[in-house]
Amino acid sequence: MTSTLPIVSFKGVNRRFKTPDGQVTTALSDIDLNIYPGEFVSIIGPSGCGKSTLIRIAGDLLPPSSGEVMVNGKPPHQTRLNREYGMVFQAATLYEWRSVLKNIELPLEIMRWPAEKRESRAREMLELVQLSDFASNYPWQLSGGMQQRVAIARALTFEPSLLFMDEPFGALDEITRERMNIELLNIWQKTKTTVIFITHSIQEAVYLSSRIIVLSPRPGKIVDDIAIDLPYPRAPEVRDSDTFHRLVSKVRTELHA
Amino acid sequence: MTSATELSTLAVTGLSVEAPRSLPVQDTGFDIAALLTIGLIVVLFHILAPALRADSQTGQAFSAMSLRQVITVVFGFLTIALAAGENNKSDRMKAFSLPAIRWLVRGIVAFYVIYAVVLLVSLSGSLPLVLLLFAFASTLISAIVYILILGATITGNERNTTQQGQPSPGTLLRWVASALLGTYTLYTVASVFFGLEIAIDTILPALLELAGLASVVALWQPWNRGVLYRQQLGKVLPAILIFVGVLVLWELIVKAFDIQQFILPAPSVTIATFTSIYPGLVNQGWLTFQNALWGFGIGCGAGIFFGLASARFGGFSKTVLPYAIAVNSIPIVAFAPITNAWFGVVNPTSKIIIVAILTFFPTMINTVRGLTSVDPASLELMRSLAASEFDIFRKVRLPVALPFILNGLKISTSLSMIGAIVAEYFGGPITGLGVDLKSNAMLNRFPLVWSQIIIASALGIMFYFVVSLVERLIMPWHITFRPRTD
Repeated sequence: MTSTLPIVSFKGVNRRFKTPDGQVTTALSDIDLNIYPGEFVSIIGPSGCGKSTLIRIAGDLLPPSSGEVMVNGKPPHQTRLNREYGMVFQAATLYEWRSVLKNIELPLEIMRWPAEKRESRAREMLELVQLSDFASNYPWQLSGGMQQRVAIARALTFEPSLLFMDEPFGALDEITRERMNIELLNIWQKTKTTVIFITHSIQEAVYLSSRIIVLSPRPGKIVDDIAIDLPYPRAPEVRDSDTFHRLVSKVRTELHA
Repeated sequence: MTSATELSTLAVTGLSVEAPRSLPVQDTGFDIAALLTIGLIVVLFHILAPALRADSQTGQAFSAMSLRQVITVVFGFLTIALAAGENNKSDRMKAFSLPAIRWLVRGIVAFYVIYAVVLLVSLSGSLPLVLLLFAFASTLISAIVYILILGATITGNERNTTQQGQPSPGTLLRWVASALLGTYTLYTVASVFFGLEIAIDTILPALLELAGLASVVALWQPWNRGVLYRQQLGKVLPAILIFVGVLVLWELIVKAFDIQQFILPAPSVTIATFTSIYPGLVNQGWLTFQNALWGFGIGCGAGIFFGLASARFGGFSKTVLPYAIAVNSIPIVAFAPITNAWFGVVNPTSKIIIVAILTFFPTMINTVRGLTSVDPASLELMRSLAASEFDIFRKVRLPVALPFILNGLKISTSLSMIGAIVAEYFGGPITGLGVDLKSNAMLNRFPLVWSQIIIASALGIMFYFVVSLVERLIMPWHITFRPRTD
């Protein structure tokens, strides 16, 4: 692992915010983190610990207050302009005036792909997230889980080497969430994209990740970096194994430490 | 894997995404289109036939040339709508997505834009030949498109029905009926727009009219729509009952208390007056409505333009908005004497300006509000994709703003009619609705006043509905048009 270059690296990254009453709070403090190609890294922590801030800094949606961030060997700003990452937000953020197919085509339209190529790629992506029958439907005709799958398809249409997921299944119910986890693992193994995944569900993090970064409550600091040595492909039954339970309780202990 | 398939089957059945296609009847829009077409065929026949033109009331009512042209254009659109049928909206859309038709439609739009420009230029000078050439070319292209769309939709229909494994018994009938109706449309276009009164003294117009009427009924097939009518009856019945009830009560009160006519005429008197003078009313109404329409176009056009500009350039918004608010707080109608002095009392410009100022503000405010009420997450997504400002504007801000803009336009429809009438209170052409309304009121001819109020509100309501229809066409995805789940 350490022999290859990191795809995302944080060096001494801090992020401070000004609250409306003029005080300064620190969201992230001294983050040092390297993420390597092909990893599935979950970042877990209590709410308000700066998990989303971390991913937003990597995606150049927020600047760091200090420290150095490199994504794909470049400053995040350049990576964003090169469109080298896909982003999935907590809300599906589908445009209601576009059909499912057209929503998936959106990044390709911005990248000025020709129409036929756009459509055939979008249809491939629909196949990948198993929504081929819904190409001409509108987002409001889909359930929450299906909407989130469309958002994942949209983030992956241009085959980015990095996928940032900011609590993508946070708003889904437990049953749908577990199904989405299974599907996400399938997609990850098919596309071989590096995934950085924000969550506040311990079970989800352990089931999905090859590595879990545990953040402390505000100001967010890295408390632990846990390798999850469960082999892929992971069947849903993994959740019942002893190793799984052991890892879950380990993460839980770190979170409450 | 199975779980995902299960999930999607569940969703399909739960949402009934595959709406039952065999159900031929969707809403009453098709019925309204059919009834309107029948009405227009009758009206157009009265306009066309030289004998009826002078002698019949309908012929006189629609004597204004501009009104005839509008009726003919509407008739053409209705013909296409009827020929395309109602039970396959997606096929109709597919016909429009054929490259050839898309280009032709663009061609037509371009032609009509030039037509409008030439028309505006010819208001000052006169360029009748160029105008005629453009009219001819655009009509020719319209005819070609009409035939192409017709062909595409009908073959689309046929493919659809055969795919479902059912024979399509009505296909030939549809073809013949559409062709007949199309012929009659082209005949009226030729007559109204170009004065080509082909065989007008023979039996041909009457035959074509009858064929057109029969075609509408054949395409409409009201006998198959009983279920829909029964469903709709329950919805509209209360409104109709209240309307009739109020009229009856009104009549009874006027009769029982022997109320003087100048205070409140009985509905029966108003209706009698209306039917006896409606040719004049239609002409008056149309004259005033044209002012409303031009004012609406200028005011709303400027409103949208400045709204877009001010959302794009923040500084611009700060500069313009205070003035816009100031202008809006002036009682605009008080400007009427001033615009009369500027442009002349009988010059329509003096009325159009009033309407334009009146409709500018609501449109602009709504446009600005729409463009700035974009959800931050939508913008963040565009930012993560490194989208240009122009892409963000085109793909996010504008679609978000559309419902707001159309809301502004809908408010402006009624404002423009009010503005056009009230502006005439301060003087205007003697043939205008507002001028005549005022003098009738001064002479205590209240049944006439009420008749004029009827025609004014009818035009206002029509205008509102046209804008609503446009809204429905350009943003079918909007929450207000989604099928209700109950």
